[in-house]
Amino acid sequence: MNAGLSIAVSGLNAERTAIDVTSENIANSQTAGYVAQSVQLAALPGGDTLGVGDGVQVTSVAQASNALLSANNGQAQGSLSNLSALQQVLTGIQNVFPLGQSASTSSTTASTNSSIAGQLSNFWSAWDAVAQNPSTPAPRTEIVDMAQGLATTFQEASTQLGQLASNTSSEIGSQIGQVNSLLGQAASLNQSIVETSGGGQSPNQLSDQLNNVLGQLSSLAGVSVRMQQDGTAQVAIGGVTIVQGSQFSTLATQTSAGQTSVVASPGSVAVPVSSGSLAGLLAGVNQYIPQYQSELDGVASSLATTVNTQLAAGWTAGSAGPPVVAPAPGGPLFTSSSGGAVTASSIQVNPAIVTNPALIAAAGPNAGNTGPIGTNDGSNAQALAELGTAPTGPDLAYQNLVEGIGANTQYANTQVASQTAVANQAQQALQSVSGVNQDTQLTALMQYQANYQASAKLVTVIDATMQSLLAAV
Amino acid sequence: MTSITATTPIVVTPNALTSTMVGTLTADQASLATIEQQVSTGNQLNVASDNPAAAANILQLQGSLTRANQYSANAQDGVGWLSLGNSTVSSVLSVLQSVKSTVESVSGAALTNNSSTISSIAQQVQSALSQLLNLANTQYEGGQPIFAGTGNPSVAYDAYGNYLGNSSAPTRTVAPGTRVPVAVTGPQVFGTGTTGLLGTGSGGSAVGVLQQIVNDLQTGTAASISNVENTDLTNLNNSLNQAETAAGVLGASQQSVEGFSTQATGSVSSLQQELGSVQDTNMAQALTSLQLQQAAYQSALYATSQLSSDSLVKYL
Repeated sequence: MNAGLSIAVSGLNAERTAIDVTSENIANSQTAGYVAQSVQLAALPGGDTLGVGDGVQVTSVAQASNALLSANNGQAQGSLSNLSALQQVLTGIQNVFPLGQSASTSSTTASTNSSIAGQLSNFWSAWDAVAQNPSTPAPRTEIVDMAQGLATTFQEASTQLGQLASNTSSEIGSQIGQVNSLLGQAASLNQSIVETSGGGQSPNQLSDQLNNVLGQLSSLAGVSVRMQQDGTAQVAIGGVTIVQGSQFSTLATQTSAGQTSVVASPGSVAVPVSSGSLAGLLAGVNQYIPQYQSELDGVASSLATTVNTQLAAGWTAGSAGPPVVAPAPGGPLFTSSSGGAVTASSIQVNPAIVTNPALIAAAGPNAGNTGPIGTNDGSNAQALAELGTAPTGPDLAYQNLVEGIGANTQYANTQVASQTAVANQAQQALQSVSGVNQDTQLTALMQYQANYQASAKLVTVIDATMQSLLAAV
Repeated sequence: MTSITATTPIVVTPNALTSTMVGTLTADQASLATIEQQVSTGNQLNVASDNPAAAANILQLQGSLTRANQYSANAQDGVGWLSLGNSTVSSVLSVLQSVKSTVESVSGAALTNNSSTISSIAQQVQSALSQLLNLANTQYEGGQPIFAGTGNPSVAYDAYGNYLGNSSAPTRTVAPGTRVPVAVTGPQVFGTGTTGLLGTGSGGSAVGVLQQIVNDLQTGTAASISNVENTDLTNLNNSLNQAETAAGVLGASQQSVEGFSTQATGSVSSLQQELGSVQDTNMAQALTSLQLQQAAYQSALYATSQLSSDSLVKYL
């Protein structure tokens, strides 16, 4: 009889623990990194020779974790963050080069077009106006204005790319800071898990926290995680172990020859980050931004070379005076403000021509190239106007640039879309094992409740039985 | 304890369901925004990544369109030059015709030895000379002399009839790689030296045809009058022929430039059409997909609103 009572009590205790665990599951159904728990019950062997046991006991509270699904999910999330970060950088680059289109119905003149392409075609056409009136100052002044507008647009685009690079770099810095703080947390959780387990207590809640930290690390730096026997996590990035037990390295960026890389200290070990948002940002700052900066420089330099070469083939008209100015071979229209090669940031309009637009060599050379064909000749300006549709030159280089960045951005958009689906599936797969489903939990709760009521009823029945026995005595 | 998990292959948790729903909503909203942008801007492409190849194509077409517009403007300018040239040369011709008929009347005056008639003829020819000099310095809008070639920005001839321009006529680019002359030079119309019309014999210029007639008439001897009737008249006829040839050249050029102008206008409109087909939104299509997308978005919203209302909690 006494045994029956104690067995019933063990049932009550076990069911109460089970209800507690269910309650804990439902309470944490929205907690990041939380893994659903379940009670593991076992029958207690008894001293009874007939084989009646001593009731039930809770052997452990187990976590429904799955290492494979968890690793898959981490990888998928890291990859998604990588692509999303790259997509952001590429979209930023693309925004520097707007199509600047106006609806074709109203574009009889594309004068509202402020993009480099639109400015270029207007610039070329303006040369025909010079050819129509080679000796009038107005069309020449307009050429100078347009050239200055182009130079400013190039400089602005170059500055915007530079700002994008520096914003991306500072974002890398702040993410490295987050990663370092998370690495520290992971190491200290590792230590706590070892200590808690050593003290004979369950480290389940610490494991949940560790899961959460590792998830964030996957998204930021694409870490690979190896769970150890003792419940601690060994964290590596690109094959370099960063967290081992309670030991961890801190990351820092290092820039040499324009390339930003990540190193782990102590030891200044190079860490090849190939996943997570850091990888995307690094690709942006190391590869894409410099690539388009240099393509933009190429367009600016092509513009300067194309225009200056044609101008050098022509002559200025000079002036019959007073004061008398002798005709001269054409000087450059575009020069470099730095004195070096013409780039998008250094392109400027030759200050001499800004002061005196008469120095624009609109006239073609005479038969012996000893002077202009005539003082009112505009054939060199006519030749310049035709350069915009030439098979090579700045216009084509710019079209290629826009097509290139468009294709890269489009590719990134597609990749992000498909990787989002992959990451969602990985997360669902993990959630279906480790997540909390309320219906499942509530069904279990009903069972536990029924069992608890049954155990409680047993106590009453045994009590009634004892009472009737006592009354009989 | 009975098994409470894995009775179905995938257990959908509210977390997973929520993230799926939110994902669907975001994607629907993004497509809706794209279509709305296409409809409101009228452009199929708003950033290069929408269609990179078409974006490059659009830039190229826009460049060609600007260029074609400029060809059209160049041709218009050329037509302006040429029609002014034509009308000026017509005036030159009518002046020369009247000089010719006047000079031909010299023989009658010579018979009666009417010196006052002869000197009035000389005056008429003299004034025709200065009239021609004026016509030779005709300026196009903006002050460029149309008969100076590309050699002088202000005048073609000085007061003595010296040519100050050069021998290359100005041209306009009216099609890719095609330049057509939009004027003839002074010597092409008026000739040069002693067979030219404009020389006055002073200020370094040769004595031209008209000046020679004036001189001969003023000399008034039988020999000089006979010169007027023979050599001078022949020279005058030659000059007339030369001016007529120049008029022919100008007329042909004008026709050709007008042809190029039509061609440029045509290529502007065909480029606009081509650009429109690459760049413009197909409104019928876009509005239909806008409605479809709105319906999809609304259903997704409804599904989301129904998401957490059902669970076992409701029935316990």
